[in-house]
Amino acid sequence: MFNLIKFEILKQKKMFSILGVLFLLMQAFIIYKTSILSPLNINIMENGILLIFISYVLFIFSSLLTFSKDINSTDRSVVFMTPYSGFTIVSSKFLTTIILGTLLFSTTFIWFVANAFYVDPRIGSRILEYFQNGRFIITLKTLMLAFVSIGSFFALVFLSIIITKTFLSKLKFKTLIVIIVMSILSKIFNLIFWDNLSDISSLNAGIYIIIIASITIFMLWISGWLIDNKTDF
Amino acid sequence: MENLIINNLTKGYFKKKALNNFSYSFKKGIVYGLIGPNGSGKTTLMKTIYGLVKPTKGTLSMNHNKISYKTRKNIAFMPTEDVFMPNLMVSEILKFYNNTFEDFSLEKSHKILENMKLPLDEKIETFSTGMKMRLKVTLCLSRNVELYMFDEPLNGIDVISKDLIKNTIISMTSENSTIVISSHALNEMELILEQVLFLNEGSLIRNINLEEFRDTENKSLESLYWEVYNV
Amino acid sequence: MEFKKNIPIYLQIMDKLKQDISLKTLKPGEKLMSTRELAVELKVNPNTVSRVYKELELENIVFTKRGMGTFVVEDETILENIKKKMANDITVKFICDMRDLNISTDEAIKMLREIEEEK
Repeated sequence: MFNLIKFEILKQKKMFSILGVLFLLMQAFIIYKTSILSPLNINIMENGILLIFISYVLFIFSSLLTFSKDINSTDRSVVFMTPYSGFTIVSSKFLTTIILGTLLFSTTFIWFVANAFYVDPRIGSRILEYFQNGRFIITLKTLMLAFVSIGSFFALVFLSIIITKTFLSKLKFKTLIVIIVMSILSKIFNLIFWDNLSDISSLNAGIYIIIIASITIFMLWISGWLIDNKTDF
Repeated sequence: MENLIINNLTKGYFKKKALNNFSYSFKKGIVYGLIGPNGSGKTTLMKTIYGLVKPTKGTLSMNHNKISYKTRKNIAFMPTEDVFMPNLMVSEILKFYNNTFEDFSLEKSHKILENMKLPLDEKIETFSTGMKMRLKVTLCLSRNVELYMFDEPLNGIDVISKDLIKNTIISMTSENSTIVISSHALNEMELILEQVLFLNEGSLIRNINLEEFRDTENKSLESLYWEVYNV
Repeated sequence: MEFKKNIPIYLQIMDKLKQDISLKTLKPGEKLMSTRELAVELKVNPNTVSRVYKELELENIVFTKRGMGTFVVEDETILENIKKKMANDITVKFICDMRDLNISTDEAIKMLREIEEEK
């Protein structure tokens, strides 16, 4: 598994170099602006947030595109020629995305906070105030929930791409087909899981997280099963 | 000794079947040729044996194990597509194969690379078509397995590459391994093949032992090809 | 070596080796190339070469020493006989071919003399 993940990360080198350059440029811009202007520089940080947002979109887009190319193009079939099970292969791609995504998030977060301090040191005390009153735990829980939800989103897209390749490969407009499949799948999952669970009140975030994580693993398992038994490469 | 047994293998539906009730048992130690025009099912057959294509009907087994991703431990396959990311260096793809396949020998791969006159420290994207084919053959032959399959290993490359590939394949035959080669280039493979399977529209239409055929019919493989396909 | 594709390859290799042996290109007692080496050199299947060595051994032209290789026999009379048999086969074929052209043996001998003088 390690081997596969290493291999997948190597593939993403290009995207990360582009991101790195963009952030370096932004950083240079920030340093320049703070050195010539005095207070009221929070506007710069808005640009920073914009850049971070763009990088997330870029990352999601690039990951999904890479996965789609890996599955559909005949010239990148190295990984599917290996003696690993389909589940191992999809999980490795999934884990790579999660690892890189987490890295991206942490790096941009730290970068943002560091620059916020640099631009206006008073922000530090304001942030610390905000995080008293147990807000820290809630923020953490929200982050975890967001984390697994995004993970399940990736798993959903992966599964849709595989279903499209397995059963619907003769159709045109692949992207559209994938989106349709995704919508159908998420409707099905909602029907099976949420409708049954909406009865149970007082569901806390912890259970939600476990449920979503289980669904994610289930989707990955189905993807693996399809790759081993139904998909032609 | 028969190791790969295929029964009534069918792929596809209605009239346009890629494979149509194909049955055959491959024996150890023999070099097989898969011959046929484009679309006759050679690639589909090899991919099905490797588990890349899933059969519609029929069974395949390797040493009595059903074909799946697990049987890839005993089979090495060289497809027509590239089996490496172009931005990698040769040494990196060797490392990947070494970590992926238990039976891969790094030593052997270095030796074969030398025979093929390929460098270790260059990026694959700088390679010519002939060099890429030589690399693919190297990756396949560096594994120590019972069945080696090559899909059109001499197709569309320069004369020197063809020669290097042929020589390497010849020197790597053994009584413990089976080799299956699909080819259009009859002339070039004719002297290496022992048993030849003729495919057409997914079916096995003829199957001969070349030397016996030459003995009894006094004809060449090429003339048989013309006969079989009524060209 | 160029091969005819419509005659068994192993027979052609055998003929070539017999020729080499009777012309002393391969000397009595000399070690022949390993099956693999010869296969690579001739660009044929190693099983074909194995068969060649086996058949030659059956004809007592070569012998195999386990673990050491295949060697030409030392006995010169055997080797002389090979030469005689090969010459015989060529002559028989010549006479048959000439008969197919309706040329009598006497005429054929006359032609042989004429051409020999030209050469």
